[in-house]
Amino acid sequence: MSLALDGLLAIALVVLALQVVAGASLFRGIVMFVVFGLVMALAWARLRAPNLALAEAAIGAGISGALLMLGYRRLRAAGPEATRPGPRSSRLAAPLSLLVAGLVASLGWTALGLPEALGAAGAAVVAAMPSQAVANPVTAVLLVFRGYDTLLELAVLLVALAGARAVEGPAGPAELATPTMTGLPIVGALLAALVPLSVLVAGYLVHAGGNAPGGAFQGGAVLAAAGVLLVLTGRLVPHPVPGPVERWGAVLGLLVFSALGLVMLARGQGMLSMPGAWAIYLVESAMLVSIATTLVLLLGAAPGLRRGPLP
Amino acid sequence: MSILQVAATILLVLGGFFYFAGTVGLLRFPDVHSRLHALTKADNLGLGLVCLAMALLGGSWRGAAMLLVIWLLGLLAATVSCHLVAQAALEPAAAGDGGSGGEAIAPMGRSYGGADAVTEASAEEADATRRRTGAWPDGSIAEQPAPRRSADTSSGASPADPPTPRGDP
Repeated sequence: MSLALDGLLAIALVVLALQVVAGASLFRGIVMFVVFGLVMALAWARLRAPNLALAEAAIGAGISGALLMLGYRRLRAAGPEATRPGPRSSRLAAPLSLLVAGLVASLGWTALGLPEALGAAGAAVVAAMPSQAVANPVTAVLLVFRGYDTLLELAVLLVALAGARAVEGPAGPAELATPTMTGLPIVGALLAALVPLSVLVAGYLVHAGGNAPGGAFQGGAVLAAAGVLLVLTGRLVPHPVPGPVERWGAVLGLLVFSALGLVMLARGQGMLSMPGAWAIYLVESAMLVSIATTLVLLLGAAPGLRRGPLP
Repeated sequence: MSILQVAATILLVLGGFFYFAGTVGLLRFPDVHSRLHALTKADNLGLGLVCLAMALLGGSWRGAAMLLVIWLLGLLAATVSCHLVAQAALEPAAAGDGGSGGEAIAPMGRSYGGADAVTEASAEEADATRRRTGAWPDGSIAEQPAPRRSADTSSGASPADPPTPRGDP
């Protein structure tokens, strides 16, 4: 039974992936990409990787889908020609894809034939877990064992934001018209229910990350979803000058994380070592704010956001 | 097999049936509003039944309460996106691209839910639309803009309306 389910998931993933790249239209490809992300999240859940499943659903399907959708709107605004899929196939496409498929198949075959890995990092983490302040191995890896990686991931997010700003220029891209119908009462009711709820869920994800699947990245994506909803419905509008909330929000995670790391270094305990569970939650909360702010600013394609005129 | 498990199995099968019926309706019905009608009814009830079955099997009040929240959120998202897609199908703008812009989107718009379902409701490309219009042999799509106003009051709007007050907080 479960084998049938797994087989179905695997087939669905391949079919959806084909639809994403070979769909009849760009719009269809984007929608299929979102569906692919959701099925992928299911697959991760089946592989007992709930952290990845959460991240895939929130970031892979949700945020990336919204990002692609906004890009599509801008393309459409540029004219009907812009959304037409470009010239697709060349004579090399078929042999190349066969080659890649063969490579992947032989890699998979080799991986299946390998003996159980010796001294894998996962086993070391699980062995070291009892001495840690948090019970979730994934959070421990992110913040205790490989804190440096996570710090640099935050830096990458900030650089991505700065890069997008640099490409867009000081004024940013032309503003898109706020969609009609955002003034309908039912949209206001949806926002009134969803925005507080996503703040709650984001906080819960960070809190739960200590001993269950969750954490700042998943929580940040959920919080960003609320911001994206507010931008899409015209409650927040792009602004050429970032306010203090956007400025501090974007750098808060990096600031808190590196400040804590330096303090620990000054106290002679090794850079980025975590003095306790409170420090982990502090850093995760700051990361939550930064991740959410960065994602919303990227999606809003603007340096800052201001409250829009209420319909 | 305890009586609880039997009840849960029956609920799961019923829920699955509603999902199946809704999907068939989505694929086979001729226009936006009847498709939405099939979809929202089936999803709301199907999700509710599946959640109820899982609450029975889960055996904890906490889990049951969380499943209830999931169902309510599903109702909210389905209701709002259904309402917005239906509105978009009534808008003259949606009929602009050969009268089938909203039509082409209706089966797909719900997959990402919420407000952006609507912002793109009239945003399908012409070639893709043509592709899909070819798939409907009864030519019902060509009639889409014509019954637009009458749909407001009678047949078109009524199937889409009932779920609206239910999830509207």
